[in-house]
Amino acid sequence: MNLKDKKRLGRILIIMLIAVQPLLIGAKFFDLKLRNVNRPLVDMTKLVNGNSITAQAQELSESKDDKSKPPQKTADDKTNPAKDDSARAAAEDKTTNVGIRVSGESIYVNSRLVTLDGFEKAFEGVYKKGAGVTLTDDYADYKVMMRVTEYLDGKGIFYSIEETR
Amino acid sequence: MRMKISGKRIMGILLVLCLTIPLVGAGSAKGSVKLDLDEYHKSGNAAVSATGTAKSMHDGKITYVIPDSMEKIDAKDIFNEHIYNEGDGELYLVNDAIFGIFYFDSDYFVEEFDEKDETRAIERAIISNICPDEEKNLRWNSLTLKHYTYPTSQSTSRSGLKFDHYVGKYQNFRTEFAFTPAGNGLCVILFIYNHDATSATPPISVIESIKIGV
Repeated sequence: MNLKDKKRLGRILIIMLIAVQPLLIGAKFFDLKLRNVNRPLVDMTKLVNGNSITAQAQELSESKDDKSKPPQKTADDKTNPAKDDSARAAAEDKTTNVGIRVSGESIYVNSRLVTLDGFEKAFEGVYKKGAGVTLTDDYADYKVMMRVTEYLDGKGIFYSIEETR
Repeated sequence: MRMKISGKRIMGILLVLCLTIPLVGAGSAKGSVKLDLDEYHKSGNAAVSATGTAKSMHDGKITYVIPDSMEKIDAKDIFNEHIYNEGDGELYLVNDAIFGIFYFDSDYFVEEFDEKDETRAIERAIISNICPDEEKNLRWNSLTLKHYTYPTSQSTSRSGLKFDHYVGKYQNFRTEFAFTPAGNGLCVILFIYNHDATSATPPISVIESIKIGV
């Protein structure tokens, strides 16, 4: 190899080194580690599982409360626990509206969770003739929704359906 | 004479190597984006939702509007305790998808001072932290020059904020990320869904409504 070729080879090698250098250096500091992440930033295991979403919506937001909660809930239930019979009786007197919300397979009567079998009893407990009934379809399970509507239809109770979607 | 030929050969081989490495990198980079749907910021001409609730976080520096169709999720134990305690994150259910928005505090989460300006590296670290399976797709690889795949796309919102986008995967869910710089950190948007027909309008609506103050 003569001097000219050596020089040319040297020059090419230097140019290539300069060209490749940032890529190699990049490897060093382009990946960084986070600290204070013993718990992940967002714990996906609590949001989804396989094909389904496991996260639950918070209990009725304020605006939805206004729609499905009857007026009696605000004053009476804050001062007296719901289980208190006298409080419930007092509340019933003022009931003008009954809110039923079917969320998935859960049924809420005036925001109280009831079982499917206990639904009719719970409803009769708060429903007074002439009261307005609002049925909220909150991603309701089809069968549960059917059972509720069949019951209401069977009793001849007029109700309005709202959807939360 | 013999030396001269081998010298040329070396030059030739190095030249070919030098030229082909980026090509190999670019090729495999494209292949690594398995999710072929458009990212949500591209799909459709979503308008900012007419009705919604104005929200803010990070001491009011980040403001946005949550459409009425979204239902809040209790984010306790889901967000990292720092984000939750600072009130810097919210999660919502929207139809069959999950929408999330949070402020990533670089002062708190990034170890080295000189790394705090490495926005893209921080973004990749955030993705790997939330979707661990994505780490191998985002890690630097000298052979494939993997970092060139990140971000998968970019966009600019109406208020002029620049967003980096990435589509990751968690189990059977597509997890879309959008990042925009905010204060000493990043505003991170998540959209998690597993139906191709999922409407992208609500997340786009929020992205378009984001404003970042000083």
